[in-house]
Amino acid sequence: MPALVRKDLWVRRGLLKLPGAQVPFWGFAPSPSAPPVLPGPVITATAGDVILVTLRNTELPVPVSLMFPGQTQVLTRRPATRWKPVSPRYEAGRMVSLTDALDPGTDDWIRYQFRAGKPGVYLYQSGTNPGVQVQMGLYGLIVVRPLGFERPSSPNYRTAYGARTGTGFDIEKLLVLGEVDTAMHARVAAGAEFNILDFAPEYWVINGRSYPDTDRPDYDATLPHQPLGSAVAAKTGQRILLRLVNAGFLNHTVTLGGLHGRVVAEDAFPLASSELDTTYEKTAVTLGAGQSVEVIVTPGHPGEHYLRARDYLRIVNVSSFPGGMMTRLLVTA
Amino acid sequence: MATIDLWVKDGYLSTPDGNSIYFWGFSASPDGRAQVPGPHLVVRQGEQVTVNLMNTLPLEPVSIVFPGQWPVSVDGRLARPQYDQAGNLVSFADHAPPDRGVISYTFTPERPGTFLYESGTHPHKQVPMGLYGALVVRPADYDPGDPAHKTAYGFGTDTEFDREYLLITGEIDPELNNAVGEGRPYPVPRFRPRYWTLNGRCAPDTMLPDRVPHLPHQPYGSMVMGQPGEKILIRLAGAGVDNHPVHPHGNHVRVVGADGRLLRGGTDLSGRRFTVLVGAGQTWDLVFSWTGLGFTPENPIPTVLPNRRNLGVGDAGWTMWSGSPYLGQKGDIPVGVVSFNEFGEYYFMLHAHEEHKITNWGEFPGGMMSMVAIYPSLSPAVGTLP
Amino acid sequence: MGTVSRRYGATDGFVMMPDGTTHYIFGFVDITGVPEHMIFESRGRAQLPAPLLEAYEGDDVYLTLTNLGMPGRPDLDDAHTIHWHGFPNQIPLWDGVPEVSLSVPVGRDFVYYYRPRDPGTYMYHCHFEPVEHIQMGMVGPLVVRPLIEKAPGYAGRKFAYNDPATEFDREYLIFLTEMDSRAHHLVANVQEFDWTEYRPNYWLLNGRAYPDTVKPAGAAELPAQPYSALVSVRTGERVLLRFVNLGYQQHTVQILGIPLRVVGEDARRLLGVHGEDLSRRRNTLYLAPGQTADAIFTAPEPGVYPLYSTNFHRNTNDGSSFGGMVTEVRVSPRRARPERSRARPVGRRRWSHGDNRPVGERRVPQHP
Ligand SMILES: [Cu+2]
Ligand SMILES: [Cu+2]
Repeated sequence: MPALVRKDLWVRRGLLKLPGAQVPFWGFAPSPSAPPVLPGPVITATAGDVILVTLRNTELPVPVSLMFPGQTQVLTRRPATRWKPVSPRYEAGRMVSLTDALDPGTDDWIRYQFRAGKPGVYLYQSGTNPGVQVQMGLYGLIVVRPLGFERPSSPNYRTAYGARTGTGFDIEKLLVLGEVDTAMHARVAAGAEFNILDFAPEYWVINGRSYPDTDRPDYDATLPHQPLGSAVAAKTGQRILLRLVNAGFLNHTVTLGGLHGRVVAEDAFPLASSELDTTYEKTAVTLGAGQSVEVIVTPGHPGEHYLRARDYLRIVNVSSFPGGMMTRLLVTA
Repeated sequence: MATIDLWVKDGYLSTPDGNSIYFWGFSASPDGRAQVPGPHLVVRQGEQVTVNLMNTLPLEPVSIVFPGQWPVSVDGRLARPQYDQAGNLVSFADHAPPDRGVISYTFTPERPGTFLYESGTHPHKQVPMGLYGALVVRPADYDPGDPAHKTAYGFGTDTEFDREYLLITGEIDPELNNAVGEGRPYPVPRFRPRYWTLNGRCAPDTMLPDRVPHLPHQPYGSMVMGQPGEKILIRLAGAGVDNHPVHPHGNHVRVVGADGRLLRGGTDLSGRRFTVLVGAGQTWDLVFSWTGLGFTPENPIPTVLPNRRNLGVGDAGWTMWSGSPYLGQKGDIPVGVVSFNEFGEYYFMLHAHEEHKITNWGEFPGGMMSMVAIYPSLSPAVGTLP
Repeated sequence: MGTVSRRYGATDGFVMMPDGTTHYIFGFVDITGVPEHMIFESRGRAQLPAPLLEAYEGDDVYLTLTNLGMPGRPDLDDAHTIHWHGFPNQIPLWDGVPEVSLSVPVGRDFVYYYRPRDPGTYMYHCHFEPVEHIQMGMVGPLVVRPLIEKAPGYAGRKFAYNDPATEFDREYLIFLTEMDSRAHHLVANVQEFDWTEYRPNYWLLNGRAYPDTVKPAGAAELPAQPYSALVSVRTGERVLLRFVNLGYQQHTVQILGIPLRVVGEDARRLLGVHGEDLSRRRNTLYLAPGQTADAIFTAPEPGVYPLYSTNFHRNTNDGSSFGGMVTEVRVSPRRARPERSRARPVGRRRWSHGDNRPVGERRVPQHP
């Protein structure tokens, strides 16, 4: 039975911990008292479910919103209105938000609702002044499971996209790529002007963390705003599903630590069906901003590898190696 | 079993605008010079390869990683990342210590294709400094004497070729090289390439032959040459940190392989493109063929060729044009214009389509640009890898 | 087959950005049919992007390039060329690379000839000092139409390729470039620009930055930027977007709420060797400079669906946001009429629906 998946997201201020820097950021929190996290809380649903997200903002003095790239027919409402399709917002004839936004000090909340029609990983992010707000941290992930994902008798059991899509896996890792411009964060958080032409990030993150923090476990106590690690530990022969999503503004190339992987999905569209298998193998994949690429790596031998940005100027923290967009893949026999 | 020796050394690259840039490179022999890219390595599928690395850098450890080759072993065990005493990662694989350290890697390529090899130590510095190269793995059934077995990926894979070229892309910010050479810290976020390279050279040096004496550290040219109708295999490898859209004039290419894998998992995914984005750390195998439009003096072109004096011929006193619309023919070249066209061959530019990358520090022509030359006839010795 | 004869002048001009700034450009202007004694009146009237060149597969295309000179830079006697980017099996004579054939000096003409065989979306540009001339604006779109449109049973319908699965009702051009206004300013003032410092501050769709992108085709206040980037369609219609990237940066673009099916890339239908449909489904399109993509979608429920760069830092006009590579897909309700929306009168003019070119430019390839 399709379910209604409800999620509350509060826009809050927080402090990112990056190696050698503390950086103010804006993030989504599951409650007004919980810390905001980067990426935002993962919304999990089953294909066919309706996702209903309530967005609230009591901290930021700016309008905020949510947009859902890859979803169709998204509806929205506020306390005093009915559901209606989302639409851009204009001021003086010029678009100021890609979708309906919540103004500070007005309504208590704004809701968005849509049917999660097909499995996959998707971004949600602020659609309001995204050049600032997405960089400040207002992005998160939606994972939509195929029907029967948790039922061992189902052909879709533990697959990313269902039977015959070649997406069965033993280990799953969400890897959300991004970049952080600390000067921009400091200015925006202080309410100062920032010229977006000066955007020049110097930290490179996976799930909001830079190496070596990527190697720390999930929910590490020292990283309250960055709960997700990205290190992978596997045994030979296990199928590791790497769900790479680029939430940054730049394109990123990720190498699979020297191993080949099979690309099984792009932009949440599986590449194989019962009729046609268009999957292919790569040692590195390039993701444009907003794109996702899903790769299954099945190591045949033990080894200690580093998944990493192949732009080697992005495996540093500012200028020092090792750091940045890099995480460990440890394969044992 | 193949054994390859690589010495890590330093040297100075030269650019066509007269710059001389400190770099680190691999050399194939103890008395040889550092070169960029490192020696083209050509091995055979299923045959064990041993790479011995000798490091002459006084202060830096150096390692080599072979993306797409695993397992790689060192001293009979798996290669593994190296950490310093504080636990900081130094190298993605066992390294040769500075000042004449030695290490040796062994692996057996399981599949044919085009691969990179590159430094796995401080790669934010050592790879831009020039410690990269390419590895070609021949299919097990490769036989250059038999057209059906002269292939990139093996008999029956639709990857037969008549000639082959290996083009490695890269970029250089001389400020990084200078800082490294002088032992100064380098602010990584300020990286700004001034040169973009094919096989370590900038245009027009890219069009010179292999091993010209005045480029002792940049031995490989990038001029692609063939005859009409031939299948020309172009192996592109992205060794730099950026992606580069490579556009050959003259025809689409058929993309047949990527990252050392035939683009044929379940389905033949080979396809034709006029611009291939050479992503960082990735390789692309392309088949280029030019058959022409059938114009000959007997089947003339349908437009009138105007008086050459009314038109611009070539650039700044030189041209690579023959003066004739027809392959193998020569026509009038205005007096005072030097023609670098010997046999009436056709030239088609091949270049990065981010056009600022076809400059040398801002001056066109330069950078990541070369030509595809179609000759009326050409020795079979042209367009071969060792 | 038909004959297409066009004459394009190479000259200069000025484009306008939404922040009120004006920028010097080089470019092309359509002077087809203009009497010889009047062609000089088109000097200084370059448009961005250059006029759409379109032909049918198999047509004989004669394209005359006339170098009209640059009234804004009388000192500059640069030659120009036309390079049809992606023309298969070209010969150097008509490939437009001056180093390996001919270029056209000021006051001269040259005739380029093409007989296109492969339908799809291409581009053309000047190849003389290309880093300067392309950035300065000598760039244009190029479309080759498939012969299937003339086949019995298909006449009056529109297709991207010779494949019924690529049928569409309306088509729009989405032509991506950037502009570094410092470079334009220096060129206008006879000064050198270090191209390795290229750092654009305007990002353009069809030569315009948002919100100008949604202004109508031929808007009077944008005389040198006649092409709109507004996609205006009705629910249920099949819409073909012809994407071209002729900038110097890789771009990713997305339409919020509308997934795309990429049926062709670089003017080749995405088909397997055994005819398998290898169309790519995408939420975000990634185009490198020199690449094209043909993407089809079926227009959803009425509404406004924004199209934008997901390189969000580029949706700006010199630092003022929103701007740049942003436009709208406006979907209006189905027309109140029986279904079978595909059926349309035979002989309807090209681009008559969903045209993002000005009315005066709608023209079928001429078949004398
Ligand atoms: Cu070109
Ligand atoms: Cu071009």
